[in-house]
Amino acid sequence: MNDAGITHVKSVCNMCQCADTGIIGHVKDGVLVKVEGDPECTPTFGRQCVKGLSAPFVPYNANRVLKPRKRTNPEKGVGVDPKWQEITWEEAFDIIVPELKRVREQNPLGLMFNFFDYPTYQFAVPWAIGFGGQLYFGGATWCGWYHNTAYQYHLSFFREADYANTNYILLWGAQAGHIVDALPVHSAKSMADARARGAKVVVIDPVMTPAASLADEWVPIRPGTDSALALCFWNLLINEYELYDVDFIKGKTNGPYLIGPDELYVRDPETNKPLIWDATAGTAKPFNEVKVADTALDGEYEFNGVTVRPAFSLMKEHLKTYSPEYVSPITTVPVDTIRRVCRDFGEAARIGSTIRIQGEELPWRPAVLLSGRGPTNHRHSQHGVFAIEGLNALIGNLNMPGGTLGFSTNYERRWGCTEDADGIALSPNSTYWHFGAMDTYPAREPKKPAWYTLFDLCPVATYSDNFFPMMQALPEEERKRFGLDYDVEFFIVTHSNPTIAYVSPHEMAEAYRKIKFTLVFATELNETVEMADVVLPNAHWTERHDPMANPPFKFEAVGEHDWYWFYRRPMIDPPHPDIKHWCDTMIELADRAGFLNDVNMLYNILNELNGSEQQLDLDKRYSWVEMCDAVMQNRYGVSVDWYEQNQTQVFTQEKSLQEAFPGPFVPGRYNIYFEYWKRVRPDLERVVQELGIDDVWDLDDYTGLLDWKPCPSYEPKDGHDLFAVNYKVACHTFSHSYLNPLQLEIGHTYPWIYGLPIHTRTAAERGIKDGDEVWVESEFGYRVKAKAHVTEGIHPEVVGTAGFGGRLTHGEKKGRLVGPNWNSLISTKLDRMDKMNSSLDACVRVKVYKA
Amino acid sequence: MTKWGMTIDLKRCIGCQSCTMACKTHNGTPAGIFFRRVVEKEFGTYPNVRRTYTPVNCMHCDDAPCVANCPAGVFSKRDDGIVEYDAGKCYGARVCRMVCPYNAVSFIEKIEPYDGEAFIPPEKYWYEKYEAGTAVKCTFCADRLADGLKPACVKTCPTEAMAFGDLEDPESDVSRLIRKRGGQPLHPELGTKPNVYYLS
Repeated sequence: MNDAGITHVKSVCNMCQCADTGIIGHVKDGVLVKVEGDPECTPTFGRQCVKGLSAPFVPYNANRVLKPRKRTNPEKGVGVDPKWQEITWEEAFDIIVPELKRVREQNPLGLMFNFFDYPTYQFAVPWAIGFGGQLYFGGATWCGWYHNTAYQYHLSFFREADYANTNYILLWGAQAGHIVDALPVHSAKSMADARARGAKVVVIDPVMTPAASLADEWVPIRPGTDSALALCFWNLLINEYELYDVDFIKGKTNGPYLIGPDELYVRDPETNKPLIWDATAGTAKPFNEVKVADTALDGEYEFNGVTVRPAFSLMKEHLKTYSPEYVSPITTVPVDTIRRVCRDFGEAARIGSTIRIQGEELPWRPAVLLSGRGPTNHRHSQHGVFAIEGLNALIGNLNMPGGTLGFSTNYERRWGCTEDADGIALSPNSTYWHFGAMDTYPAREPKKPAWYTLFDLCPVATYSDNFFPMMQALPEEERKRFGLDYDVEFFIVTHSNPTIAYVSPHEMAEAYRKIKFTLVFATELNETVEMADVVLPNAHWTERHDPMANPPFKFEAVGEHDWYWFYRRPMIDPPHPDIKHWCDTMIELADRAGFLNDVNMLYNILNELNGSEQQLDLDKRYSWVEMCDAVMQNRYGVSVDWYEQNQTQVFTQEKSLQEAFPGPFVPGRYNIYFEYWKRVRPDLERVVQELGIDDVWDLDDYTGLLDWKPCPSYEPKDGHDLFAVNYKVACHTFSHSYLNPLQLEIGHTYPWIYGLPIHTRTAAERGIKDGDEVWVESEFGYRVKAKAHVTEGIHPEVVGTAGFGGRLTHGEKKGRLVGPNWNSLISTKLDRMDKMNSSLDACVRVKVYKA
Repeated sequence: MTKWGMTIDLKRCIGCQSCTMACKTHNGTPAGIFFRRVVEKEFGTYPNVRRTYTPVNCMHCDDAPCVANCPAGVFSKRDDGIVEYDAGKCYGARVCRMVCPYNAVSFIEKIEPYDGEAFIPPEKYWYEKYEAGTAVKCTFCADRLADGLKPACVKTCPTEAMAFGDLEDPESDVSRLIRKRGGQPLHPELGTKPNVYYLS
């Protein structure tokens, strides 16, 4: 390529949702010809990953949507030709706006807005709420959404390892540091540095993922049994090895709180504060009046004539069930391995040790556990996520040097954590709840559900979005049992592909075809676009101006690395003048449909602009960039002009020690006994009974103590003797990356990306040889064809597929239909879902046979 | 005199292929043509099994078989150690493909659009320097070196698994890493005297 005439544009990658890489776009004659990491972007060390580098091929995709279009074929379904007709923007508005007005007038909840576009959360939520509609965040079963619930331990929405100070990294169904997870590029170097220092990595996973293949040890496990193993670790660390942070448990958890026969806190009659047993004084006192040294964790006491015990004492006894000998047959992990890995983890934590950083002596817990989607997306996974992530609390590494560090959720870099009257830590004044994900403590009041996501029935969930597609799929009479006596009539989708991203695309197409009107903002054709009534052309991220480019929960690389605020400027113009940023279109829609003032009002409220210089005038129509600029200036003091004047894409600030390692400095305790679940149960039970759904909405998981229960796929069914799972790989993300020919070309170089890994012995038993075409047929009767990759690197009971292969769009090029589509094997069934948080089983029983 | 060389730290490499993609997008190679690749190999039996990832590009050998055997004289050794090529001389004998023990030379059979019938805009710029029926390979990004930059693969690697520098300079990163970590070329027994060293 002749370099003459190339201009360089600094921007921010958004090839995956992580948006953590400052890039330089090389543009020639208006064409993006190359992307590279910006050497001046310190948060990512000037590096770039395999996905982002392939960006030049996306905007010019042959399936790019260039103009508005409407369908002329009323029949909708996967692979059904919509018989598109291109229309003008005015014609599109003439179709959309009257429908918007009608739905808003009749029942605004009839609008469901599905998006998964991080740089627009601060706008999309006010738009939807301003309309009066509902929200459904995409990502569905792919992101490990449900482990976020346990990040109350980090007072955050997400976490990372303090690679700089840790010595032991336990990746539990996760691949942090391997170009997946929340900080792909930053963490890859940080992990490599840690390993070069001698840090040990152990991976627990049914599949020998790239991370597992490079680990010091790979521990294969039967899918869906991870929390049994985690509870065994609790048992061993507490009852046998005594490798837990006693002072942390006493002073920073609710472990010492006294529990009565009703499994609830025993409270001080005068102050209503939970009580702790003061072992020195021999009496119960409010939690805030007992020194750590005097705090009892064991024993049984009398208080006001009632026998009470510290929660930790109850846990110790309860956990004894989870012996290695009991857990080993469940998980298939040998007893010796369980004991060794558990002891290594506990010993690596160096409980009681300290480290001097910036002149201050801080607790040092150089062992971390990071979990991912697989182990934490199952029925009963609310218990699972706390069983697994809670091990970090047990060794006292929460937000401590060497341990797990949460991302601050504030635009303004503040932590500002508080505690409630019960002494439990509360997340800082977070921005993320504005964006749909709610804090998980304390429990919210259960109510008859207003939204299809049944959020009101999930009082301790971060979110419960998986219930929307399930409810939409249910027959009307069954859905009405949940109090949802209205139809979703207007479906807006942007930056999401819910038809293929959740369960069987054919099942979801059936569900979504029931919606009267679907509007999709599209960069290119996909399975959901082809369900649309009207499609509006959307700018690709390389063409977008997103002044607030961070995900709304991540403004830092954790630890002593800087705060950063990214700014995405367009590197190129869209390939057609009809293509716009979808947020500008939404502003115009709100204006034309007469509710822009409500959007502006909600924008002011949710972004805390009221009373500030940047407060929006309710009746004024602002551009997308102007709306972002108002929040930027108000929340972190940097304007669009600043980035343009400095021709940079990142604004950084150094952290204080307290910001780098908040653990020793934040008030409040963490839940290791789940009294708040137990406490909310009666109120939830009342709502469930009033609705008459107690036959399907079990409340058995609302207990104070954690347990493992088998998910529905645990037992083989009717000859379906194997599990199918899927896993992440560096070169792909979500479904859209399967539209990029460069990523596909790279993917073909490893047999475990588009092939079906199957264990050598399992394959031999079925007469399957490497490269054979096989059918994978699930217990739901669905099947996909795949090419067998015979390997030792997978649990013998498991077959795997990577990501979202096997795209099904009518307009797709043949080359893109690579790999088996895992989602095509699974079904949306209530009994497959966790009622506390809506997570769906990330494994399914299958049989595999030669095609 | 500078002698360019590279180290690849197999303990830092995670097989993510960012280097492969950086190479492809910097050099703008046609579909199916890679100047570097990552070779994966599985070892052991369940559960004591692991997979290795070995990035491979032209080793810029001192005794390069491609230089010695190409009937058209396409390949030559520069003073700075880079094995360069002149595609204009290539008439497609493909001896280079047969003699290179590292499978580091590619041959462009044809130049076709990646996706569909027509070239997309970046492809029009990418392929202007290539011709079907000629041999191509890694040049250690000689164009970047001329601008004082490191090869695209080295620059992009998220784990900083690769270093690049002057093997004649004992204080260069590559020389120090080779000394400290006992760096070895791939298959030194083949006698081609490669200038890419692996650290394991």
